[in-house]
Amino acid sequence: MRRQKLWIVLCVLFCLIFGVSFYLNSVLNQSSKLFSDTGYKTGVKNNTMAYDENRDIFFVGTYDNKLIAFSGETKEKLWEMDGKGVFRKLIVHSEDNMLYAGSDDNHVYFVNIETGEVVSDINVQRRIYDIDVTADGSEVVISAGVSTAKHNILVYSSDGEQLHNNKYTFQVKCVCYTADGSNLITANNRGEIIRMETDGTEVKKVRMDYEVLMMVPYGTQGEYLAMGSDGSYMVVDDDLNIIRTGTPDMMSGSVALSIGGDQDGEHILIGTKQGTVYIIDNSGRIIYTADMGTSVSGFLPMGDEVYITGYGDFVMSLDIADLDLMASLSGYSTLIYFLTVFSPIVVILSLIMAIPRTNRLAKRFGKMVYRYRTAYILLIPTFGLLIFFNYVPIVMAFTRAFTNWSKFNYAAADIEFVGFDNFKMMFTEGYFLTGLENLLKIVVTGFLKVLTVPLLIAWLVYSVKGDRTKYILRFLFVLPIVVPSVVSALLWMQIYDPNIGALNQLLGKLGLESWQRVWLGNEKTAIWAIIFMGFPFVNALAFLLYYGGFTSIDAELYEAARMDGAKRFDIFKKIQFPLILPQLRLILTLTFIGVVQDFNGVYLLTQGGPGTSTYVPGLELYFNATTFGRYGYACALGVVMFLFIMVATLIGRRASAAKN
Amino acid sequence: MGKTKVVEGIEIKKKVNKRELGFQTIIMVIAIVFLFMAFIPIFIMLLLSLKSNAQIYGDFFTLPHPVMWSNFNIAVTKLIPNMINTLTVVFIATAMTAVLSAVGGYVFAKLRFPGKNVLFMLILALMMVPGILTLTPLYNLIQTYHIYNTWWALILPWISGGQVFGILLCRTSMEELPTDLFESARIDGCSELRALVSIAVPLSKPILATVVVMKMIDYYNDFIWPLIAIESNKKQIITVMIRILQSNGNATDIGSMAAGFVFATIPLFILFIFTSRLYMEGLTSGALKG
Repeated sequence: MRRQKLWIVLCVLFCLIFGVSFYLNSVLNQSSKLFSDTGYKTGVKNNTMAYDENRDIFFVGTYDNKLIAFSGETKEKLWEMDGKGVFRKLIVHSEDNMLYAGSDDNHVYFVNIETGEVVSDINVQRRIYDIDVTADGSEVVISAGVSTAKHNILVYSSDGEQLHNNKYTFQVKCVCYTADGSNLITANNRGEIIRMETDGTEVKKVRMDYEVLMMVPYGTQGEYLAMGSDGSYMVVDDDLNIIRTGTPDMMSGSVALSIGGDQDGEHILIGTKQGTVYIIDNSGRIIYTADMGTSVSGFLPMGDEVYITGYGDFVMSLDIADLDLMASLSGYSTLIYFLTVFSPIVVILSLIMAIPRTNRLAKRFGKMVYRYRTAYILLIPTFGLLIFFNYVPIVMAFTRAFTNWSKFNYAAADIEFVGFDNFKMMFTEGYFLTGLENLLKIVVTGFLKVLTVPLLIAWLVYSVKGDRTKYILRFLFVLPIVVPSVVSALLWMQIYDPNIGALNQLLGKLGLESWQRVWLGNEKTAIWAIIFMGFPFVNALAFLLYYGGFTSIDAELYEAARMDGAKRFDIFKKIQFPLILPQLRLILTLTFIGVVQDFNGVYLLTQGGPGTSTYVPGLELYFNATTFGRYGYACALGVVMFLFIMVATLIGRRASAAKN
Repeated sequence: MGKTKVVEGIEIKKKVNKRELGFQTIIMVIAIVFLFMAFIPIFIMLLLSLKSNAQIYGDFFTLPHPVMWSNFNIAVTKLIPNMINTLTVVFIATAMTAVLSAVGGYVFAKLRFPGKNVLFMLILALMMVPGILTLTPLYNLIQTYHIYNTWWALILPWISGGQVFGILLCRTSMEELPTDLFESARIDGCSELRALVSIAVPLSKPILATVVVMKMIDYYNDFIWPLIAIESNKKQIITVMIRILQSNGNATDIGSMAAGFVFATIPLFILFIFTSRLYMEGLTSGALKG
């Protein structure tokens, strides 16, 4: 009785643990909550932002030549100003009721914050990259240039008089005043961050590894945050002492575009051209990655939040407090997930133990398992892995193929049953049908390839006299498998290169210029170029299997045949070929299975192009499973390909069973 | 009469020998022609890897002069971190596959327990399931499992699938081991684990070696899965990295790109030199039928 109570307590306890971990898990998965829309809608592509705290007015400088002011309270447009170029940088001077706006149209506009009226402007006759204004509003510094080899740092007084003109033969894209307004801090495309006097005299200099693309004030201590073109960042203070640096481990192919920080200088945010925002904590670790969909061009710290915008009509806010909660939770995410999965199992088990009748059954079952425990224990790792990495995915593939599961319908609550819609889509969308047509070509030629050359080679090597020669030939024919398939595909890409590809070069040498083609760029030749890849098609696996078949033929059969005066070809036709039929069938089945799934070659050489001329179903599945994020559809494609393969395998089995 | 018959016999033999010699020459010539063609891409790779861009554009087919060993310097410096990643991951995965295959093969070959047939069918059925079916769910599941962009995302799915093939091979081979051997060991008080480690494994070394070599080549060659499962270049393995470097505009320096190809080929080349006999015999012996 006491034991029973213990089981009940255990059951309730794990019910609670399940509840808590399930909740925490769902918090972790609802990452979209971190970001909320601020409601500032420009209707065009944004670029940069500024905010006047005293008047609660929010400014957006857009990529489409507009400067727009919003009421912070109602999110409604207050006024709008048109420039002739992208607005690069906005600086607010609340006391003077002045907004300084640097634009690509060569002007720095002095705008009245309340009315939007342009009070005055400075025309520098060069494209403006960055501006800054001293705290008292008496001086303006402008980074501007006409080309990569002609750049100026210009200092103007507030009434538009040029004070200094420092000329450079390289780009100095970033500029700002030191806290006291006495010196400038500039950053250039040589990776140097330089503190200088306003006339250009260098005071101190530090280096980054790559061109500095953006530099912004950071934190509360008057520090500066600079970003190199590789996404690396550096925090320096007024005297250019390096506070910290780092290079975030970004997704391959990402191009860093913008950088910003939060108010307290605890986090650094890096935005990329691809639309990803990386959030880095002060230990240099990426604690969060978010996808904004469009290139991210600007950050603005706003109290506990950071506003994010980019080349799209969005201004999102990120809650730093939520972020910290999430970051601290995510350290335990694996534990939480583990508990969510395993606590229900404990609950069920303890429930079984708590009920007397099931308890007895369970004990009997337990005794049986205990008796054969060695076998079961030894199989735990095997089946543990299979469950998580094979059985669960298989069940998911078959069930999710009938749902609208996608990047946008990801949470369990959003996934809906859609019947055969995904399967119908294959026939209406077109890619799949094009893919099938190409697949048919590849399968037929694939069969021809493995039925000819490897068989011939195996027969040749088998017929050669001398064990040593045989071994050497076998070794050499199999040796090319050491070239990784990716390398081999890329080599063929090189061979097909229109200009310096071996194929066109050879045709040129032979005086057959008229035969030269852009092999992979031509819709007519591309698929055949992919099929021809791997010439002369000495498939090592098929070769070895055929060879194995030949060697297992009883030598007495030949003797008998030779006695009867059979010719070599007759021996092949009447004895050898029929006896290697099992190998042949196996090779055909394996080839079919391999070819239907494979899209390495197509992916590497043409990505399905030009147009859709080299699409195969596998490639379509890959694109849907990754880039497009249409997971349900990808699962459906997988199911169809599985059915193809299963039917083919069964036919192969049936054929060999009939023979035997 | 008798004399002429003997002479005739010798003549026939000579004729046969002559014909045989001719035949041998012909098949050797054909074999060598095919060998040469099969090696053309490899020749091109080696040729390009030792040339500068100017030499390649100038005259494609001439031998490099001067030989640009610096291509290898550039390629190896760029790729060495990823090569180390690859070797580490492939080594761990192969070792784990071998252990799981030996254990699983032994359990299904030599132990008796309730549910054995059902469990074995569950494994056998996986041979029918193509990798492409589970690609989409697995890509999403590794994020749920919180192993996305870690080496576990490569190792665990690899060994999970790889052990299936290994268990089937090991089971076939271990079933042929005499049962008496294990019975007497058990009577002597030898535990099952001990029997596995000191009897079954040593006797199945050849088949285990075959599993190791084949799986190593498989894992090393994998491209699509690492491309999906690993996001950061620092953790990426070499096959994908080569593609990334090639498509990121480094293709403009063809020589060092080809040198990278050669570099990526070296580990498998070394492996193959030492294990070619195992690999070839594993496939020809008929262990892989049906």
